[in-house]
Amino acid sequence: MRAVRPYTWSEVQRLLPRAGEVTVLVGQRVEPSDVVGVATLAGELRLLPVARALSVPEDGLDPYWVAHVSEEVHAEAAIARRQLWGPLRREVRAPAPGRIGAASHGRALLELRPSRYELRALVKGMVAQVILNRGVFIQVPGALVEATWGVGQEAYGPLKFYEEDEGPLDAKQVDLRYHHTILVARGWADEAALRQSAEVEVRGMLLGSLPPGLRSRALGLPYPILLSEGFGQLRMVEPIFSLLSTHEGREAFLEPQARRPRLIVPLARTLGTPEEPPAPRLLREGDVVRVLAGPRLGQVGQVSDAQLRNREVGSQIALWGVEVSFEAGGSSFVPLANLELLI
Amino acid sequence: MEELRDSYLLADIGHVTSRVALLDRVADEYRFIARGEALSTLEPPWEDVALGLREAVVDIQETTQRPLLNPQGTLLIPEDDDGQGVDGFLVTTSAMRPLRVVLVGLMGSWSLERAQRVVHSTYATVERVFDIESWRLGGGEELAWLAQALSSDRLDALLLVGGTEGGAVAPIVEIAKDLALLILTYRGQREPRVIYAGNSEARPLVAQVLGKVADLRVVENVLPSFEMENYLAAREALDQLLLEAQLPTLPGIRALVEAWGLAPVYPAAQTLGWSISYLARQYGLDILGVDLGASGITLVSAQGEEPPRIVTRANGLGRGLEGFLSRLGMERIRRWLPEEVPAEEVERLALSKALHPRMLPQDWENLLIERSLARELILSALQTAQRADDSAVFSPFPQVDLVVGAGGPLVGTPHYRQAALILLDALQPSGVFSLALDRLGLLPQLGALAAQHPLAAAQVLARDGLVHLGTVIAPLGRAREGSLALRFRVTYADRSTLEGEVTYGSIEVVPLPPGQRATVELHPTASFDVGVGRSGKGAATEVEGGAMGILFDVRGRPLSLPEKEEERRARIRAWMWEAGF
Repeated sequence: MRAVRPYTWSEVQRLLPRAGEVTVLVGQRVEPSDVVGVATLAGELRLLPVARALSVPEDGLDPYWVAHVSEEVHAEAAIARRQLWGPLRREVRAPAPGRIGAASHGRALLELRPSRYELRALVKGMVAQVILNRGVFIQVPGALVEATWGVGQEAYGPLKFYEEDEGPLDAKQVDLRYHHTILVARGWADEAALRQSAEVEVRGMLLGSLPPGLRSRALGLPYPILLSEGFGQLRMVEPIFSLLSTHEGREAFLEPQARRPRLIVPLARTLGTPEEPPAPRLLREGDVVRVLAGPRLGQVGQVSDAQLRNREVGSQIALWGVEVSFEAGGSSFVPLANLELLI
Repeated sequence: MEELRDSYLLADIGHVTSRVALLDRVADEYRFIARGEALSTLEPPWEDVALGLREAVVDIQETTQRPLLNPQGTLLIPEDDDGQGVDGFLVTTSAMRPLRVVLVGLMGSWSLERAQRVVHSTYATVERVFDIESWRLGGGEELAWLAQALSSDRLDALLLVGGTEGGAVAPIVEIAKDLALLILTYRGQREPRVIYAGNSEARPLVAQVLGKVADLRVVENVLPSFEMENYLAAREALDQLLLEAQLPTLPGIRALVEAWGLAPVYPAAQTLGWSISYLARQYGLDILGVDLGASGITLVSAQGEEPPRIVTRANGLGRGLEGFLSRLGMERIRRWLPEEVPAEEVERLALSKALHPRMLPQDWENLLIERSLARELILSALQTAQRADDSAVFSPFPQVDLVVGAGGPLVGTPHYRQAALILLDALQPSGVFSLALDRLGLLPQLGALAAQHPLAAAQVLARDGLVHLGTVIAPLGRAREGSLALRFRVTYADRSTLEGEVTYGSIEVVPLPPGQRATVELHPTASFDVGVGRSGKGAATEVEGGAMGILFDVRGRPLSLPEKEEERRARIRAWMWEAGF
């Protein structure tokens, strides 16, 4: 698989956090804001040992239920009651307001603070598969960029580029133009810029890199971040930047928690036939690669000789690698372990 | 009985490296013939383990000129009359994602403590620990977490424990009923897997309750009595789950197993334990084994006839590193660096390693940072082992006969002495012991082979399994820096002698080539114990040579590093110099 694909098929899985109802059908076209499934979530659960409290056998509880599964109950409301003789009775009451989620094995499960959860598509595409009660797979034709690191929840919004091509993101320039957009910056961000981006409510962010000290700060932000290169002060490589530049203003989908964090720009089918995901393979001559470590860190080049060779490098370890010609000039032996196929 | 085979191809698929070893019968003995190595290809852009494995086999083919693959790239099995192909093929792997396990048991029970040990002994992580009271008395949010985890299939197994043999049955059955209700209500797309390892009298009732709603596996009680523990059965159940649930998630593994024949696949931690245990039994040794890889770290304690104790952690020099760094902090990594490297650069490189576990150090600075990370990972794993297992081998400053290092970051060092220093800094063993490295990466594979062909495994292990680095003499004690700590006299086999003194805070290396033996007389000063149990008492011992020789580590235990950065770096540089690199 390559990290940058201008026009390909991507499959996006959207799942409810618990079993619920899927509200779309296979073949249906969906927009990012469309609800594709709903479920009821509980903030807290209580297990109530009803049979024991009423002193009845677990399989003999049926006559004693006062409230039933799916029913909402108030605090102190009776859930089950057993009349003894005269005024004496045994009761199980709800410790707090909630909903009876289930009842079996002699107990009731009370869901406290229940809320309705709506699962949105977040991406434009076609429902390719419905997972019963759980969610959908959405097939999306479009541009795909795989990032190296991501944090936060999935999001979508129009791509909006930070105007300065060099250096870090300047907080002063992050203004309301970026409201509800996916902010794309070629360089990196400082803490003020991350904070300001939260203030203007960006939907997400794609950066070249992030200083390592800001990693923990990024974990607590209200929007997702993707890094195309990694940690440090690295600029987004040209092939990614060029591809995304052609899509400024288009809606994009960020998926930071995917096995490989990714950004997808859905595109119309009228552009032609999207490329099928390529089969896995070893490096070949002409492949565009980026360097992940060592003296050429962050540089992009082309494999000029794909013949694997074992050579001792600066760390005095002998490593397997190939010869790469760099856009920045010159060529070097680069260990295979420190290369990534870009295009 | 299975027919014994002559030639074997043993493969080990790691997160970063795939290794293949060819064994064959030479005259009447099984020998290691050749090994091949290639980058593992389970991660993007390849996502097919067969590609890397095939490259490793091609590497052997080129070395030996013996065809092992057919033109389609699949393994030739069995070996034909022309010596093409092999008779047997076995795979071990440490590349699987660890099992995510939730422990459920009785309140404050010893069983839950034992269950944690079980989980630590294989590629698994404890996600949460629940006891019955915690979820009855206001643990509603925790219960909601469990419901959510069940519902989204975020758990690989629930391990239910509780009660000693002959104890009360009702409490454990109550827990089983709670679980059954939760599973019925919140199960995800797949049937939850539950392992029951509690009071055996409760088995029929637990099976009746949980058998209908979950994939239930019943094994022996982890705590039969307060005097006895038994975690082997539960560990085997987890290992089995690992193979069932996680192995198929390795990209390309199914196709590989189908195309290359019925290759049993073993978790490498388990088979490493078998190999080290064999050595302990065979030679009557106490052994501490360390395997540091990209996806985790395994510690093995083996003492004579005792079954091996295994502790694994899902923090390796790659996967899991991000969380490890957050908990540890950069200063702990920087303290091992002999040169000034800004904290931000250390963190950048460490995080890059977490993002790209296969990345290898291309320059000296990167290598030093990786080795610092290795020290802290091993040290942290040992601390986990001390909490998880009461084996004396895992105790602080362990006194063992042999320390074995395995895994790419240790055996891939440019000089053996670097690996020796990493092990000594991190484990801080004491007394007189040997150091060895699994240079060829054979130990996990030979452990697997032992399950099918013990003789072949034993013969190869004895001859080719380990590289002996030599003997370490590490007395316990403290003194003023630079003051005399130990005098020694080495008498070589040719009766020549070498005498010397070692001061406190330093390392001294005395040559003793591989295969040679010598007698060492030790005369510690009053503050130092050379492993005889009394400070100042001398001893004489016969030691074996190796690639390193005899190393006197008189830095004291625990190692103390100067507070001031410049002094600390100078100290680390001095130790590196004294160790000979």
